[in-house]
Amino acid sequence: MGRSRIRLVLVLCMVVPFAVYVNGRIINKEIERWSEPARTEEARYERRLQPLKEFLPEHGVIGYVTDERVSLYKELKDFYLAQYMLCPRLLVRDIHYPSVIGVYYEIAQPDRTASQSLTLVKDFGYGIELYQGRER
Amino acid sequence: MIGWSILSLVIPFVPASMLVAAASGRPSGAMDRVQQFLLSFGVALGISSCTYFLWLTKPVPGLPGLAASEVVFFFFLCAIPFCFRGSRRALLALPFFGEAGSSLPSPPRNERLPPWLLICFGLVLVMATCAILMVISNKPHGSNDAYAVWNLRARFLFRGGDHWADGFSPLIGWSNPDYPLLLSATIARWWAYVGSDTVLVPQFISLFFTLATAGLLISALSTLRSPCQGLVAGLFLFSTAFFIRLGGSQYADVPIGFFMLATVVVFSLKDTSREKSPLVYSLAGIFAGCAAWTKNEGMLFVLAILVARFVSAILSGPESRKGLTREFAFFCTGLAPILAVLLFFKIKYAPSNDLFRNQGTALFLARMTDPHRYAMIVKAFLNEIVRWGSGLFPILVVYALFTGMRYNSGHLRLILTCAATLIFMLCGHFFAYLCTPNDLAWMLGGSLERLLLQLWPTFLFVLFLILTPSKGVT
Repeated sequence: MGRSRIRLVLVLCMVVPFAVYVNGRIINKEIERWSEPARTEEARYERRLQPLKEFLPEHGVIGYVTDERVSLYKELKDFYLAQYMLCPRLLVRDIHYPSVIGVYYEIAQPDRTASQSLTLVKDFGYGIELYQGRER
Repeated sequence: MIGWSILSLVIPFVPASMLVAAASGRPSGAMDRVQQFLLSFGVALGISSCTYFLWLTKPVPGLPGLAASEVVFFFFLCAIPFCFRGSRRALLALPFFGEAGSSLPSPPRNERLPPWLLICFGLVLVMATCAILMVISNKPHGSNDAYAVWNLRARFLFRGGDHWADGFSPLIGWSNPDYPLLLSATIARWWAYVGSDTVLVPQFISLFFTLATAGLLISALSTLRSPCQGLVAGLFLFSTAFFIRLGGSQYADVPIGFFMLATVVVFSLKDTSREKSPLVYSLAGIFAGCAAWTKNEGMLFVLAILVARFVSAILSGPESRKGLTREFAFFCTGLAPILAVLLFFKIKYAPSNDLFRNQGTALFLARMTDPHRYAMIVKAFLNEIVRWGSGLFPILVVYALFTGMRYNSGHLRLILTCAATLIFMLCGHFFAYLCTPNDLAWMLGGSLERLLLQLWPTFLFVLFLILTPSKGVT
């Protein structure tokens, strides 16, 4: 066995187990994630937003409001996802547009939009509401 | 759906493979074929994303309009290789043109790979592919940046109709609407052919670029050094957990890494042989252009590779300096059309980049002269490099010390090109962090690891060019 061959064997003794360990860990983590509810979170969110689409204009800017007490990460993620799901409409976190959608996580409060002077157009359930926006 | 998918790939693939074959000559082994196939796919995806974007700006209505425009465009592209004498000879030697030409000379390859090495590599390859597929299946729309940037833009291009340019509105500035369009346009173009925005398309593209990067690294090193050396480099790439994860996350960092690697691999075709057509330089220009058309960092790469080629020519002797003007001219011929599309996009559609917003001279100077920022960036770079690959870096260092350095003197210019490119890129990233108007800690935390990952395949390529090659059975 030449020096080059010995070197190759020793190298593989280091690299191959490491590669197997790294990929095995990813596979294991992904299998664990398989049963977590977070895995289907996006699909569920898309189903929640689906009925809203036919009430929105096909293009243009739509306002967006949400609960204030949701964590920043979750709020941002859901906002980005809502934009992705409702594309090609442009979603802006502002209520000064003709159509405004509300995405809520807490139990419905009858007065939650009163302070913002929004007029409810339709409640789709599951925390999704459509409003007529406030004029500037 | 499958028929249209195949058509969408075949239309650009045929001229792209002719261009690659014309530039790199007749393949002389399995690894050469793999390399040419992957390079052809890269060119096909890059150029077709440009044609799709241009088609959007002046659409000939409907799918037949898109297909017809592309067929006409790619038909003319097919003619380019025939304009060069050396390329014409290589093209005519291709199997589908009969036996007219002769194979270009290539180094003899009589090395047999030990079966146990192939088994080990096969095991890792299967595990890595499974890992990427599982990441993809758990995140069908991709991770954060995928649905907030790349796939979102693809949806605007596909679903937007006449309003497709809404995707570049400053109203959604958080989605970086100034980012170039290679990935998004590739996805949207495929959707246009298929007729629906199925998640399978971005998933396939993500998987393709991840495996193609590994394939290109392995095939290039197999050709330049030894098949064993190629496989060991591939094992190191597949051992990088972040590469596997990002590969399945549908981000653009793996595709840009592929185009950077492809650029230096194409240069290797010329630097290691005198027989190849000057079209090789144009091909390198196309790949560098594709990198710029994938992400903004690609523009830094174009600059870095141009300077690196110049520096490497100066350092590697008078022989290299002789053809520098010709090399530069051919490189720019490949680069210019893609850069023109990019400039058109930047000028007409893209809002300004956040790096250039809020940049008054006084603020800029204050950032540049703040020692605290320098310390922070250096610390973050060192931290990231030491922790790289969750323990992979020490293994790589041990391996390098163990094998030692023995490079082929014929590869000197190529090695200098790669090393200088990597150094310039790191300096460029350092400078970008230094003058960013955004929160520095947040920027470093959110992007540095991905920036280094873009350079990782090229780094492995140059490292394994320098290290003493592992050999199988001769």
